[in-house]
Amino acid sequence: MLSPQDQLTELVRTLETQQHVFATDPLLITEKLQNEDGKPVQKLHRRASRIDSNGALARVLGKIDGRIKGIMVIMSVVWCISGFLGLFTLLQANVVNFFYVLVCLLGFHTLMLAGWLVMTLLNQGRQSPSWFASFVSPSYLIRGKDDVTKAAVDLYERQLQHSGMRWYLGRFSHQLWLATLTGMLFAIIFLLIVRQYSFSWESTLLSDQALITLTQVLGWLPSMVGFGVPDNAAIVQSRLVTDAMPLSVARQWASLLIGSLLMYGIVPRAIAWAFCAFMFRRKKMRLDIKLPYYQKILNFWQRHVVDADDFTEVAAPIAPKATVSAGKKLVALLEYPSEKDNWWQKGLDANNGDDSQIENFGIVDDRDDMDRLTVYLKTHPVQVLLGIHSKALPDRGTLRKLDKIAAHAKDGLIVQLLNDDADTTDDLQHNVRYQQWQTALSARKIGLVSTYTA
Amino acid sequence: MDNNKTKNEPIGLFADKALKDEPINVENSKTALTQPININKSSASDTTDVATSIDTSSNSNYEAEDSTTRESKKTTIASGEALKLAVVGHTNTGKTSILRTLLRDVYFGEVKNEAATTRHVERAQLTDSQTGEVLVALYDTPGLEDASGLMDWLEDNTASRRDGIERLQQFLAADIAQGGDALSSNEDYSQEAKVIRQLLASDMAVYVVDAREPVLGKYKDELAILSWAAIPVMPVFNFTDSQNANIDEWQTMLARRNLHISTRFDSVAFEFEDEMHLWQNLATMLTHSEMLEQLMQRRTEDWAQLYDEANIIIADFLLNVAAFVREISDDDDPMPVLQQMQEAVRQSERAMQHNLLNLYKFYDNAVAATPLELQAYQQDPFDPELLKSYGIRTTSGAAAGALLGLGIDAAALGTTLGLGAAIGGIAGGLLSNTSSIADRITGVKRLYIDPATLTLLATRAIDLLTALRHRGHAATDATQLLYKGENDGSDPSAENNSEVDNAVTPWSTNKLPSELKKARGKPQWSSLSSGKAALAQSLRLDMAWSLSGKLQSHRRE
Repeated sequence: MLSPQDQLTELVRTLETQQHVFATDPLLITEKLQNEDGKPVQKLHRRASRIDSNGALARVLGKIDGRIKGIMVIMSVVWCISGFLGLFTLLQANVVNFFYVLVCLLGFHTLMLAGWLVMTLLNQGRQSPSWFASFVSPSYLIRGKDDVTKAAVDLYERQLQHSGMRWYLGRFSHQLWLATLTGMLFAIIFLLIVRQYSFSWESTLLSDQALITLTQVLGWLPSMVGFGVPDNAAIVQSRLVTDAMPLSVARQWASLLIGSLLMYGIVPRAIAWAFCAFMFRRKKMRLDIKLPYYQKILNFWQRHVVDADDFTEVAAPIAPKATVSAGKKLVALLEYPSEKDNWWQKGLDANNGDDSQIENFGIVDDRDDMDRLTVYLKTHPVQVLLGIHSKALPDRGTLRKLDKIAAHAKDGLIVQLLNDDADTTDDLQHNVRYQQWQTALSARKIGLVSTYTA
Repeated sequence: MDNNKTKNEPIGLFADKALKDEPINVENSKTALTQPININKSSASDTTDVATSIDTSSNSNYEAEDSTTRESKKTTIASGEALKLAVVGHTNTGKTSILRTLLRDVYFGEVKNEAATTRHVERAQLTDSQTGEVLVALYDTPGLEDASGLMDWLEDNTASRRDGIERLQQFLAADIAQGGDALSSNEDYSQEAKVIRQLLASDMAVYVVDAREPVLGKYKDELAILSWAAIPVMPVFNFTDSQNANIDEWQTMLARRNLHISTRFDSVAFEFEDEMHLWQNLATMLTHSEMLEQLMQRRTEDWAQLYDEANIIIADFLLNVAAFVREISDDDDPMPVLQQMQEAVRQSERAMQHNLLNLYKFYDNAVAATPLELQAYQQDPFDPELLKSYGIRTTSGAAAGALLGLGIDAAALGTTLGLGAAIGGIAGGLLSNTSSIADRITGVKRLYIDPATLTLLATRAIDLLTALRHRGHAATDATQLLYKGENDGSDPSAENNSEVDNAVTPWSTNKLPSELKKARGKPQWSSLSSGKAALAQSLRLDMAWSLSGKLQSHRRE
C-alpha cells in the first residue's frame, strides 16, 4: 500500500495522462517548483498536493481510505464482541472442565496460526494471493462514475495486486484474531471477578501423574511471567470436582487459564501481527519514480542555469592572419559571384595601393576554370587571393579546390570571406559558417584576410 | 594486377592499358566488375597469364558477364513491386529533411547546418496505411561533396567509350571508393561511392536542390554523374519558401540536361499539394506506376481523414467549453468560481492542442513539447488584449449580464437583470435553457464561458490546425509553427499590433453556431462540469460531428 502522499501523487499522474482538468495547472506548478529545494520525492508530493489545490482528489482518496479503515475497525469490534460472548456462554456452569475450556479457547486459534506459519514459509517470495483482489474490489466502497473516483478505485486495485499486500492481509487477519482473543480475555477476567468457579479435569485414559506432567509443561511458560500454576496436590484434588473447591486451588487454576490464554494465544498472535506489520513496512509499495512521467518532471527540475550563457568568443581554431606579399597578385572568386566588382580592394588596399599589380581571374567554378587557373599559376609566380562567399559551405569538394590552388600558388594563397548581403537576420547562420571556414583554413594554414566583422 | 598497391600511379597504368589494348582492357574491366576482392591478391604474373588467355577465350565470357550485369540493373520496375527511390543531392541541401517530411517522422536521421551530416545510407519505407504493403522504399544517402573531383577521376581513369554504368562500376571497384585511412581526405571518395552504389541499385532518384544556391559547376558535374547511372532523375527544389530562390536559373540548366520535369517541395513549409505533385511527377517517369498511384490515393485519403479528425477534436473541445456551466447562489462572490472556470478552460485548451500535435505526429520533440515555445497558441485566452488582436469585440451582442472582460457570462444575474430581461435573452436565442427563469426565481446564478471567448478559442484552434498542416516534419524552429498564410506580410510582430489583423474568426461573436448554443443548455455534455469525461464525450459526439462540418465548410469559403 502506498502512503497517502504517494497515493495522491500517483492519482495525479494517472489523471494527467488522461488529460484531466485539475484545480491548478500542473505545468504551472511544475515550473514554480523548479526553484524550490527538497528531495525529488518530496517535491513530487508537494507538486501533487498543489495541483490538487482544492483538495478534491485528496478527498476521494481519504474517503476510500477512511472506509477501508472503518470496515477494519468494525470487523475488529464485532470479532471482539463475539469472542466475549462465546466465552461467556462457555463459562455458564459453576464447575468448569479446565482442559475442555482451554481447547475451546486456543485449539482452533493454534491450528490457524500454525497453518499461517506453514503457508508463509512455503510461499516465501511469491506473489500475493490474487484470489483476494479478484473478489474484494474497492469499487464496492465508493460510488460515483466520475473520472477522479474511477482513477482512485483503479489506484486501489493496483495496490491490491502488489506483493506487499499479503503482509497487509496477514496483519489484518492477526488483528481480527487478536480482537477475538482480547474479547475472550475480557470475558474471563470479568467472569472470574464476578463469579466463583471450581475447576475440574476428567479423563478416562490418563493417570494423575500424566496430568501433573501435562499441567507442569503447560504452566511452564505462564509461570515465567508470574502466573500461578496448580501444585501436584491441587491437581490430584481437582479430579472430577463436582462442587465448590478451596479458593486457593481455584485461583491457581484460574491463573493458569489466563496465563495460557495470554502466553499461548495473545502473545504469539501479537508477535505474528508485529512480524506482518514489519514485513509490510519493508515491502511497502513505493512510488516508482523511474517512470518516464516522473523522470521527465525530475529532469526538468534538475536543470538549473547556474551561470547564464554569455558565450560569444569563438574558442575553436582560428585561421592564421593573412600576410599580403609585396609581389604580383591574382584575385579570384571561388564558385560564388560577388556583388561588388572590386571586392578584393577591401582586403588588399590596406597593404597595397597599386592596382596594376593585381590580376583579376574572375570566378573559379567548373573544372575548366580550375584547369586554366592551375596552368596560369604554373607559369606565373603570384600570390592568390581567393574570395569565398561566406554562405558557401566548406565541403570536401570546395576544400579540395582550395588545396589544389594552394599547392600551385607559388607565392602562397590567402582567403577573403565575402559577406555581400549583411543580413542581420541570418547572423547566427553566418557565424556558424564563418567558424566552419576558420576551422578549415587553420587546418590548412591558409591565411584569412581580416575584413569580416563577426 | 597489383597496380592498386602502387600508391602513386595506380590508375594511370590501368588507364593506359585500357586505351591501348582492347582485350586487356576487357579483362581489367571484367575483373574490376566482378572480382574486386581478388584484385589485390593476384600477382603480376597472373595478370599476364590471364591477359594472354583472354585473347582466345574470354571474349564470349565477357559478353555473358555483360548481359548479366545489364539484366540485374533494370531501369523500369515490374508492377506490384516497391519503388526504390534514392534521395541524392549535394551536401547540406536537406535530403534528410525531405525524408523527415515525407515520412512524417521528426526523429528520422540527423539534420544540421553543415557539410556531411548524414554519412550512411538509410532505408525508410512508405507503406500503405491500411494493408501495410510497402509501396516506396526511400533511401537517404550522404551528400555528394566532390562531384568535380570524381568527374576528374572518371575522365582520367575510365574509357569514354564505355557507358555510364560501366564507368561508375569501375569507380566503385577502385581503391579510391573504398575509403580508409590510407587515403588522404582529398582522395577519399567513399561517400560518393555509397551514393553511386545506391543509385545503381535504385529504380529512380530524387535530386535535391537547395533553391537558394546559384547554379554552380559542381552541381552540373553531379547531374552528369547522375545521368550516367541511367535511371530517371527528378530534381526537387527544397527551401523554395526562401526569398532568394533561384528556381528559374536552375530550371534552365536542368532543361539543358534533359530534365524537364521538376518539383518544388519545401521540407519546412509543407504543402500537401507539392507532395502529391512530387509523386505524380515521379509516376509519369515510370512504366508501372501503380504503387505510386496507390500511395497518392492512400495519402490523400489519410490526409483528409486526419483533417476530419482534427476538426472533430476542435469541435469536441469547443462543445466541452460551451457546455461548461457553474451554478452559484445569487449572493456569492463569483470571482473564485470564475477563476476556477478560466483555469479549467486553459487546461483543456492545452490538452486539445496536445491532441492536435500528436495527431499530426509532432510528438514530444523539442519544438512542440515545451509549452513556452508554443507561445502564440499559449497566450491566456482570457486576456482582453488577445481578443482585441483577433478583432473580437466583447460587447457586441452579449447581454448586459456578461461580466465584461472576464470571458464568462452570467445568465440570470439577479442583481442587474430583471426577469423580463432573462426572458428576452431566451427569446433572442441567447439562452436556450428555460431553467434560467427558474434560477432567477430561486436566486441561482449560472456562469458560462462567453461567446467572445468561445470564438477566440475556435479561431486559435483553427489557426493551429492550419499551421500544423503546413509544417514539415523537418522544421526545427518554433517560429516556423506560425503559419502566416500566403498573402500575409512576414512581420512577426503583426500579431501584437493594435490594428485588427487578418485573423478571420469562423463566425461573428453574436452568431455562435447552433451546436454551441445548444450545448449551453446541456451541462452534462461538459466533462469540466460533470467530471465524467468519457460519458460527456459520448453525449456530445453527434454535435461534434456536425460542428466539425461547419468548421470545415467555413475554411473552404
